[in-house]
Amino acid sequence: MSTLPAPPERLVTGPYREITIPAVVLGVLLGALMTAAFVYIALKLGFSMPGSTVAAILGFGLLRGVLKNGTIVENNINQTIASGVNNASAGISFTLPALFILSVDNPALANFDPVPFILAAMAGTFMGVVIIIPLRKQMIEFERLRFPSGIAVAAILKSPGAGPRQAKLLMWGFLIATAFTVMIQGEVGLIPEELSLNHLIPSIPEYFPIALSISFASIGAGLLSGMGGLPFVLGGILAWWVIAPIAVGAGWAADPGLGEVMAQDGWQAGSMYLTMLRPLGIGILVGGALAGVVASFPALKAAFKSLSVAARSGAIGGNSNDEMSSRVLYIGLAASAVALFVAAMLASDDVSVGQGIAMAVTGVVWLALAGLIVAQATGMTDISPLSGMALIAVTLIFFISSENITAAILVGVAVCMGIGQCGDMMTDLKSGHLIGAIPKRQQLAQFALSWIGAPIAIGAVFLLWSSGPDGMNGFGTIESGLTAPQGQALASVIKSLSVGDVALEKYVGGAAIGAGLSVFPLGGIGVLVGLAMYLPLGVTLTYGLGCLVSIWLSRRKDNAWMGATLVPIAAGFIVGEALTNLGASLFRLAAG
Amino acid sequence: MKAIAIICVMVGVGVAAAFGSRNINEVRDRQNTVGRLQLLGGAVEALEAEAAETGTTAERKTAIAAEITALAPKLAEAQAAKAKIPPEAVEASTRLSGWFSANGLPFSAGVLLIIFGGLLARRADKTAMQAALPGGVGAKKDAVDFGVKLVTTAATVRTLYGVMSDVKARSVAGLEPFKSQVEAIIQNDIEPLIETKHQVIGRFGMAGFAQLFGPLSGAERYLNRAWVAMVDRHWDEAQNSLDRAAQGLEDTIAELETLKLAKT
Repeated sequence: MSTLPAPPERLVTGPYREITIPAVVLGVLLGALMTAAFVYIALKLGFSMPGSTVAAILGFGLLRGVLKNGTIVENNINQTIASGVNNASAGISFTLPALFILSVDNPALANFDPVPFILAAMAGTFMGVVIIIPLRKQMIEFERLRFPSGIAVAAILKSPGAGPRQAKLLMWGFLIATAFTVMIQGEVGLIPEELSLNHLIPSIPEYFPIALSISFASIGAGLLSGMGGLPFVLGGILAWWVIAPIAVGAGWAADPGLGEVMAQDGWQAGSMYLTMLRPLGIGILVGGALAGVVASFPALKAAFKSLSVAARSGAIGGNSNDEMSSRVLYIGLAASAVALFVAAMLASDDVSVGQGIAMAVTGVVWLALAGLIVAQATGMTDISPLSGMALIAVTLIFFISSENITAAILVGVAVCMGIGQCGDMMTDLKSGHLIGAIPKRQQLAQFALSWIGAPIAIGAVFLLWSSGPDGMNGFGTIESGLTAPQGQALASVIKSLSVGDVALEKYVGGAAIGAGLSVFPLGGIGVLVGLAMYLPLGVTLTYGLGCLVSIWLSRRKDNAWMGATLVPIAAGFIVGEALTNLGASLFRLAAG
Repeated sequence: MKAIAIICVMVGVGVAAAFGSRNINEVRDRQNTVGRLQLLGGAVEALEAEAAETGTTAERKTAIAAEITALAPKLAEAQAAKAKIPPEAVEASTRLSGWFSANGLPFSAGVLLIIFGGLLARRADKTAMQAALPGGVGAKKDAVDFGVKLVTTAATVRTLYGVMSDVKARSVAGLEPFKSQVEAIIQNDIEPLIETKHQVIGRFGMAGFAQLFGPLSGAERYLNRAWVAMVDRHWDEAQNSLDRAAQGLEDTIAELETLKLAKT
């Protein structure tokens, strides 16, 4: 039987498809589904998932495959909307559950109204998107930050035209990462999550970790970062291989004096991390980011100028018309601050007007700075210090509101949503830059639709809480099956704050170090060093391995080879691990 | 000089971070008390759980009971010590002043070393940048001159746009050579231009750099868009994007001329 020859491909005419109804509908649907599912995953496992990769791949199949006429930039819009909506899963599940958990011991906190929280979450979302407007030029066009996940998503989006060799490399990277990630999963357990010399040689104390986490996403991020990621690795080495042993040797670290009874070095390592290195790391992050703003003021000024030109130019032909106007930034910030004020006033009868104003202003200012930190950290390493930044917000508001827990968590929700949005939006804008999307359209899509995630995520948290016995305790306990680790962590921090336990000296000292580091002519070095102190060394070293391989290759191969070979492999690593972990989480949930 | 600068920064960060992370004695003593209770309590709980397990032998159970008995006085002592701790934590202001009086000097020395190293590195970079400018003593033979490369790239893109506009028999196959040429421009012209970032900052400062890299990045984005539109078989969009890319490069040339004039 003969087969008919395939019809010749035709040129596409008419307007180039970018923001279209199918892209918007698909983005919202995928985002909503991911938000509900990932809230559950976050309460069960303690981490949420970024939605860009999943949305890009599904969009690829549905827009280009099923509908046949989807374009690459149209899929970018779908993926931008979906990940923007899904951002709520992390923003809400890292913060709001703490209020439910605290209400068990403090019934006065129970029965709070969800409406102010939805309002605060939506205000945070809008703020996160508008704050990114001037930062796009600064971080993507001037600083040229890598945003490894953004590059990975762009590699997927561009794959139809990248040629079979790059597609094969992407697939190889994907398969290698998938294979290793499957072997790490608890049910398979063929290889450990971390290769640790401390486990093999017990005489090496845990406060001197020699470990590599088996994460191809971290290796991929390191491969894409290259030389620029090295300060991050040095920061981690400094924290764990220099400061920690010195602190123990000099008697600075806590020592309960039970060495003869039991191995206490694990406790000592944990205590050092929580009470010494982590708060100092947060301080360095903040100081580094603040000083970075001052150092890059001329470039930021130019970015604002370009936005003002966009505001004035209207429909003129220049490329400045691709930018969102600075008016949106100012109006958006003002409107979000008002919404946050209203939410704070509605959340608790104990909040005075003056406190409400102070909370709204502090929330907006901190969100702007923390958003900058998160975007910069994501751009350089693909790692986002979301929980640390939310923690500072909760601490600030806790004291401004005279220790009002509900108000503190409310602003924490807004800040966590906003800064998550900053990291996500910037990553999507990087993908957009690499495929030639119009930034204004991406920002408009995210601005108009990301708020949808807030009521879905908050609704999911309320629903899960009320699914417990007597309509409460649906999470936060081992019996419930949903331990809500991030919520527990924030609840324990709030308990510490209630007795006045604030590591102010670490934040101040760290900020001075971060500010000092900004004098060094390497953008974002303070953020990198601070972030390294904030993370376990195993993650940092794996990332560093990727950086070293990338540096070694860049000395032997030209830029063309790096772009055509290394980028698809690294992108495959990142996508493979992300999707396999998602699949494994869904499998576990389905298996009960 | 750069190596000395990096060493200064690393030593400075080490000293400042080590003394910066130090807790005051009062805080450390509280942690010791709480930690002692946590560890002992945890050990007793673990032993009790082991004893309650069905597979535990009678001999082991006896040993566990002896271990728990041995730990009991220490646990009681730890509980008593914990009970003596006031519920309120050490005040933040006390922590700050206490920390600074004990660690302020070495910490400040560390921060000053970081700043000194940073300034030294800036100076080293400036000297290296000046020398690396085309015609400078340290310039590489294949060093790219931003201005020269910019003009040739703009001309190449404008020509490509012209050729694409002149095509009468448009087809999907006809897009392929244009796609290859766009790839070549991105790789051989745009990327080397982007890599002159430090040269441009050295010449025109941060504000001048931003003035130039704004339209240049726009041009880069439109070249990417042209490539993507070619993959999507959209001739009109690809051609229009090439025009916008050429426009962006021409805008960059105009900005460069303005900056040169201002400098003279």
